[in-house]
Amino acid sequence: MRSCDEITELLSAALDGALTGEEQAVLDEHLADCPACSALFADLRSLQAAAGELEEVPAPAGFAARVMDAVAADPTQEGPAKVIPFPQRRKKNRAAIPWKGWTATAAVVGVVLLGASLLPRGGNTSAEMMDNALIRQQSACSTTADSANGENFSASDSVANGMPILASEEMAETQQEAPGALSGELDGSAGTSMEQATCCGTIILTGESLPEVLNAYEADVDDRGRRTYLVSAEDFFSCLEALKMAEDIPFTYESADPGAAFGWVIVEASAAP
Amino acid sequence: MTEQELVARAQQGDQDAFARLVEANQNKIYSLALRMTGNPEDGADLAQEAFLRAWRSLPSFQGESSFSTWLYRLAHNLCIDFLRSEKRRRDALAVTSLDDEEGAAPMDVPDHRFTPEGELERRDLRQAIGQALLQLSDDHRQVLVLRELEGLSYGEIAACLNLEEGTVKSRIARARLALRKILLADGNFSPPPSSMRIETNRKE
Repeated sequence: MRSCDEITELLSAALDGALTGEEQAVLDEHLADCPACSALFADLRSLQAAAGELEEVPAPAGFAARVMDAVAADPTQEGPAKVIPFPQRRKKNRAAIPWKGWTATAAVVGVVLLGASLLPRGGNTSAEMMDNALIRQQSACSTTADSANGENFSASDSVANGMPILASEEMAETQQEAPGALSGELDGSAGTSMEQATCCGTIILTGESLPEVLNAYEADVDDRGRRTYLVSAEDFFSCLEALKMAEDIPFTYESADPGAAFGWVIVEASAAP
Repeated sequence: MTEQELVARAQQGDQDAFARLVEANQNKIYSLALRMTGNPEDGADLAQEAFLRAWRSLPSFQGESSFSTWLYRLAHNLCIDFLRSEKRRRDALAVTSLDDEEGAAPMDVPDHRFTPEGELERRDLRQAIGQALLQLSDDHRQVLVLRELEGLSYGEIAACLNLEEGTVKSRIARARLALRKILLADGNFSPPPSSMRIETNRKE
């Protein structure tokens, strides 16, 4: 006859429907003779039933307002962005652009122009517009990295050039939508050069253990649990070295432009529940 | 305006429409985050992050499920990520609580048996459980939340938290006992009137 102590785990498993036929028999036999365990079983059943119907806890006061503050401060939306690849002209003037509030991790050298639907509304300064465009370019890269993963990823794909590739029809369409808006406001007043933005490469890895360096970054998590990190070139190559030395973390690496200032690290979700 | 209409507007960048979606879903998402993380501050941070990511990913939301469901899954995944990195941090610090040492001590077996049915309004019990959950240790609370609130199987929980399935099974049993103990101690799970009380010593 099992001790009550041993039975407790069976009781719990029974609540979850996780008993084998044999275990169920053992449990039934014990319960037939043990009012104490029977009563405990009833207790736990009540608790389980009530726990399954827990009411919502009200969000703290001002929660929605704080969320909307964060949204307003970062109004970028990703997803099927309309992106226009920058035409292949190079201007001689390569004045450094003093980015306002730009983080150290991505001193990107160029900007991708975006379709009219994504231009900021209202009167932004050209510097702000370029900030926004840069942020969107990152997002576009991220999105493309996501979609590129769906197919067999190769260096010739869009991410390698840091530029999303569009079907030519789409390009023509978006260019038609906003030729004036783009060229007028950005080229003219800013007087700066813009060229293709590139990334230094992409690493895709699976598994739980990650190179230390990634802990400093915040990942973008999609709802399949895949995490995308945008890292500085320096950290990117540290990560690469760490992965090579680790030897037991499977990963793929596609190089793009070794001179670029940032790279992508994508962590696939491990075998999902 | 229906949820679908609000979502369509929000997808075009309408922040007011999104604000309405936030208000409609904030309690549910906050509750999830609160119970997963175990404290209001982390819960609020995580819930806010969930909404921010939902905003950013909104244009790629296809409408295959409802927005609320999609948002909830997003928040759930965020919580799992949080739990995993929490676990990594705690493992790194090598902090173990006695509660979690499997097989170290026999399970805490109470001497008395009480039948709570009919003793409390179900509603009061639910509220008491909600609070008692937050008093549990992180390890106990997390497995219980994933099992009872999220409905994950032992295997799924094991995968989420990087544990062996056997560990999940015994940890849930201990968590249930611990929860019951808290409720009894707080007087929220009272013994029935003496006429119905069952007091027996359990067999050794």
